[in-house]
Amino acid sequence: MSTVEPRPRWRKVFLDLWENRARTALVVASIAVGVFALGTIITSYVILAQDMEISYASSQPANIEFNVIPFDQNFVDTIAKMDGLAYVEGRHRATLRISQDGGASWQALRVIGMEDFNDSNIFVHHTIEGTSAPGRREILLENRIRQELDIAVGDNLLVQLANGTTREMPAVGFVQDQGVRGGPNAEPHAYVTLDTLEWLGRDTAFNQIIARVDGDSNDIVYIDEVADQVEERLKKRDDRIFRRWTGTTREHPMESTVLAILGVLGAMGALMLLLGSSLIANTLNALLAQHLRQIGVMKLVGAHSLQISGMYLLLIMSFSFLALIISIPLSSWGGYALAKYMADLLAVTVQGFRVIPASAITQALIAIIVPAAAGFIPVRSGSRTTVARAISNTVGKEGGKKESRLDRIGESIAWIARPVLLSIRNTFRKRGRLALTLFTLTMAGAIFIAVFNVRESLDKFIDTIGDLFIADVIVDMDRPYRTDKITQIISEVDGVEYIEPWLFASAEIQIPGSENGEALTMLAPPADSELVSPRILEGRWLNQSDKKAIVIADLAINRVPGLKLGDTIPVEVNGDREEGWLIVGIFSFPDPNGETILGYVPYDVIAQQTGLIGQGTSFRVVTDDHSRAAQQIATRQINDRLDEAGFSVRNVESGKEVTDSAAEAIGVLVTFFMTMALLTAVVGSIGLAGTMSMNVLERTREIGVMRAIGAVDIEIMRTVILEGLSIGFISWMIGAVLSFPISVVLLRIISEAMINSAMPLYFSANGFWIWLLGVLALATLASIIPARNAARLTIREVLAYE
Amino acid sequence: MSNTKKPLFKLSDVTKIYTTGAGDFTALDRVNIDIYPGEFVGIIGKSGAGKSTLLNMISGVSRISSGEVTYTDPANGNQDLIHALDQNQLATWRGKNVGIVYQSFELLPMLSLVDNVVLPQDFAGFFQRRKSRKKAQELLDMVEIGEHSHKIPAHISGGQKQRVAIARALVNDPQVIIADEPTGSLDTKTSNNIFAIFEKLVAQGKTVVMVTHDVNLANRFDRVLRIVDGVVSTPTLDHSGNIVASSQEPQLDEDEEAANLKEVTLEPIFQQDEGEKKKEVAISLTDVIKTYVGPAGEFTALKGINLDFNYGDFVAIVGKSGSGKSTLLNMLTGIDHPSSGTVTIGGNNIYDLSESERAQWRGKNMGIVFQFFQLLPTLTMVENTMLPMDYTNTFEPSERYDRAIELLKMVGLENEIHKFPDSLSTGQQQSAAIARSMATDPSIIVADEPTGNLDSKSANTIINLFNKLSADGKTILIVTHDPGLTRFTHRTVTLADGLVVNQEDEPELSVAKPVEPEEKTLVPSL
Repeated sequence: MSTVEPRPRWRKVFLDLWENRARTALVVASIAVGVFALGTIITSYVILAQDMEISYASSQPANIEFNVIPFDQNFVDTIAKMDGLAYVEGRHRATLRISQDGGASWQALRVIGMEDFNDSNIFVHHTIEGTSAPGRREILLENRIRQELDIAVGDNLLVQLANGTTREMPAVGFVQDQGVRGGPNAEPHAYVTLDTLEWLGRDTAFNQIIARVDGDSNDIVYIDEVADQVEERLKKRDDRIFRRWTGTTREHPMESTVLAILGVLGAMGALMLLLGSSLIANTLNALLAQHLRQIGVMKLVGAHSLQISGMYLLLIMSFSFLALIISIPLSSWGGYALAKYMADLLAVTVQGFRVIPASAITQALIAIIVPAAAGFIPVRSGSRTTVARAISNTVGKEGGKKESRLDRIGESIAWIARPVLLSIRNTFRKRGRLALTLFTLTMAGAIFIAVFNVRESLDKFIDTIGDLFIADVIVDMDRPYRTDKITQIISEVDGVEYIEPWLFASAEIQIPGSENGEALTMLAPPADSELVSPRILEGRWLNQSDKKAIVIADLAINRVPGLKLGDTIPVEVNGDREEGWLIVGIFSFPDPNGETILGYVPYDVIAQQTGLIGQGTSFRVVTDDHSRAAQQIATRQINDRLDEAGFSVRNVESGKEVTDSAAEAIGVLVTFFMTMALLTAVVGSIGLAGTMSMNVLERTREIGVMRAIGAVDIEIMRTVILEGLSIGFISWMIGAVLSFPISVVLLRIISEAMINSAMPLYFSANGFWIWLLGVLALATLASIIPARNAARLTIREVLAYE
Repeated sequence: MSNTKKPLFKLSDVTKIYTTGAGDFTALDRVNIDIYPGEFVGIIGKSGAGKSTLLNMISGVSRISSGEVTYTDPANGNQDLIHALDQNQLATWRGKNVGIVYQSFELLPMLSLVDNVVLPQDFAGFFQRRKSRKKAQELLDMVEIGEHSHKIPAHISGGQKQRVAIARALVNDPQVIIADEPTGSLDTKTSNNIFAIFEKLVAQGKTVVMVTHDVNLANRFDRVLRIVDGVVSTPTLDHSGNIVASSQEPQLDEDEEAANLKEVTLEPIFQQDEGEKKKEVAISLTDVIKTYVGPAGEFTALKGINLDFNYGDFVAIVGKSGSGKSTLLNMLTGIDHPSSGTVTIGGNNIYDLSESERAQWRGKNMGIVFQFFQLLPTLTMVENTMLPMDYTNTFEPSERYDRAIELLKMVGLENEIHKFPDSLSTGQQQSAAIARSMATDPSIIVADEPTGNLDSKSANTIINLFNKLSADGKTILIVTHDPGLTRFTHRTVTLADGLVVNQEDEPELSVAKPVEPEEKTLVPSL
């Protein structure tokens, strides 16, 4: 024979792999699942960490951004001459409403007006389709809204002017703009030239300064120093600063959040790997038990313990190698897909598909070390077994073990039939195997239930946001309007029952000892408003006798050192003189971006202070039907009426839309976790199926005996399935208890990543019951094939074992 | 036997005690044997006598409890104290000096025959790709299976497997071949062929130590050692190979004998009117043929069996391993289908029933006692005994516990009812298995080698129990390869190579005789 044949012992290893393909597949799958999960997350993490930085840096990001009152190009040139600045650009930020369906529905967009797109050298757009430089009377759109609004390049969009008339503009391209902050929840952006803005009846003066420093653009301290100088210069012009932002060139504003979420997913991947390793240990234990006789024979013909260990370690390494063949390409693909998905949400460009060496190496190490560690004890004890034990007929019997209480479980309960007793006692028979199986299944259950609890908590979190937007329709105007006029028009819409005017005011909290203040948005509902119900953490809500009283968001406590309930804080409202406002309450407001401090103040006080008595910039509308559909109809009708009447509407949206957009982002996250939980459940089920198969295989003789003494097919199946169900039920009970601490930890990590503070934990009964049903269904499924195999065994096969 | 050469093996006061749940059990008792180079030594004795334990002591497979086992290399006179070697040293020693052949062949199922044969060379470090395979092929040719060398064990017959096992045992050119019942599961012709190979090896200067329970082979050994209850003796054989005298024959204490024969009461248990059924045919086999088709080809295990068994019969079905006893038992119990012919029990063809229906029928009408007891280890004695009643729904649930207790009392296990099988002796476990077989009050009890793993004392207790049950109208069929048991049954059916070769009634025994003390020593006769 010309081929080189391996030594017989290595040939045996190969044949053990090949001839037992089902078992090989089970072990390889159990290694591959965990390694794949972890590999996917590592790949994704590395791609995002690398590409977010590259992508963000490639857009030539700004380091400093100020939103101020309008200014012209001369002022931009003045600022550009300041020390420490390398590049300065002025832009106009405004809000437009567009419609892609001929005016049937309207979408509010943040529009950025620029002098010349080709000259822009900061936050450079990445073109996805079409052009990146719109011409006159053309509009460029952010890529995120392409699918949302189903717009294609060349489509004509209607743009609403302030006087209610419309203009038609073609969409000329889609771009990614990394200057848009807020991730998936950010306002969608559009881009036009300044002369197009003029054509649309808008002011063309700049109201935003964006700049890049000329020193170390990754030194945030230096950037802040430069920004302080710019702010000083702006204040000298008596500019009101609505917003200030600073950031480095390298770090995408959402990077830490994204990587924190990936970190959580990675931790779950590691947990899944750990669970998989218990499955591997179980399978290898059973494999060694099945091979005990062969080990005995090999020892009988001269094999040493080390030779036997070597053979089985090679077998394990082969499992690992096969698992890697599956997991490395799959995780590279999966990791890239996950990174691309997240990148698209964040308007980040990923560099293209690639295999991440760190991920491949980690997977290789894990795939080798974990199974080797899991198999070490079974291989060691298997290889050290004596020939007498290995070739005796006592394989699989537990003779000589110490009796425990579990051995006699159910003995004192007279009404339990023996077949049921048999199932229950069989459950506790192989306790090491049971412990490993329970560990996997219990953790799967605990994570599953915890994900439900986390979802419940996130839902409640959305409700908290919803409590700030209780109205059925929220109408925001471009400028203040008389309340009676607006009320009259909106009241004409069918079903409208109540309209409440609100005012907004931009303000700044002055921080003692500092030249910089903290931007504050004041929302001014009537003091007795029932359309806002924030979760008060400390103090109380506003009342009608309040004067300069404020209920402030908890974010202020983090931002303003030493701030507490009962303090009177110095605030400049609309750039007017500083006045003291008494903090009467602190409410919970999760702001994912952590940028804006919100505060509720009495409408009457603000109206008086800003000279807007009897006016409102926002109108909260309550209708007689609070359903989603009714809200949408009312929204459209109110929008139309206001348009027809010529009011400059910034945005009209239904109450449910506000929470929907928050729910959407959370939904993505929950889907990730649920996927991981389900994958964990799959690992657990594979483990249980493996355990039940091993149990049945080892009890072949007993099953034959049961048949010999009168057990019919269904009895045999019932015995096996009941054993599986017992394991499932025990795992559910332990998992239910374990889900509590896991829920706490998981929610803590997520809430820190999302809102920089802890969310309260709520429990969902659904998680407990769904998992109970799920685990019982999985246990039945995992037991049904072994049970069928058991029922098919004939006594002749049993006797053949003799 | 006097011998001027140095013994290859010297066993001095070798004792082996197993610790079981029911206490210590002495498997070998102060054994002193010398085995010389070039000898063909036969070790005979019934199942459970200690034959395999003795082989395991010689080959270092099992640890001795006390005494010494010394191996002297005939080439250089170097001595190894086998009992003092660790597992790896033993493996090396065995790989070099000993070839072992078992009744169950013990080939590795995945490897080809040639790889199975080469394996010991690989482990011993002698493996050379071409040379080793050439040698393996030569050995396979020698045992006349060379043409199948690239098949796997599943694709050859039992006799062929045993030839491969012998070839494997010879691959490292050992001085000694140890063979444990190598012909035990083979038909007569194949057995003779295998035995001839061993004779040839002895003629070539090898030492062969073989365990067998086939007394007909006794004359073909150079020397025969006999084991009864762990005690080794050297019997004297007549010209036909029959044992006429034996040194160190074990003697039982008279009180123990009396205890063995304790009467058992069955009255509360059975509801059958045995007088009516006594002469009716319980089981009838007509032209039963069973052919197995496997990768190794067709094999006919039963070649046309015609047998009737009456209610109340106590029948022994005897024959060598491989004669078709177990297959016949499978036909009788509805465990396996005949290829042709009919099996009627109580006038009904049991093969008209589905597998599940047959399981129910079997549970209600037939008690089965297995050689290895097969009590379910997670259930106590009483729970094991109640299980058939639960499965077949016989007796009211409230009655089942009391009935199980009565049955266990009847077999002398009244103090063990809440114990698990592991904590009982083998005899007690077999008694419990009999109690379980009677749980549903079946009219037929089939027992496969019921005394096969028991010492003489426990075997007698079991036989007495069967006598009683038979007297109460139960049909008792026992399958055994121990001809000694036939003295206590009404009738003996002898099988050989799938045919009934002899049927003998015991004319003087209308009801089987209980075992008397003076007959006890004859029970384990060969």
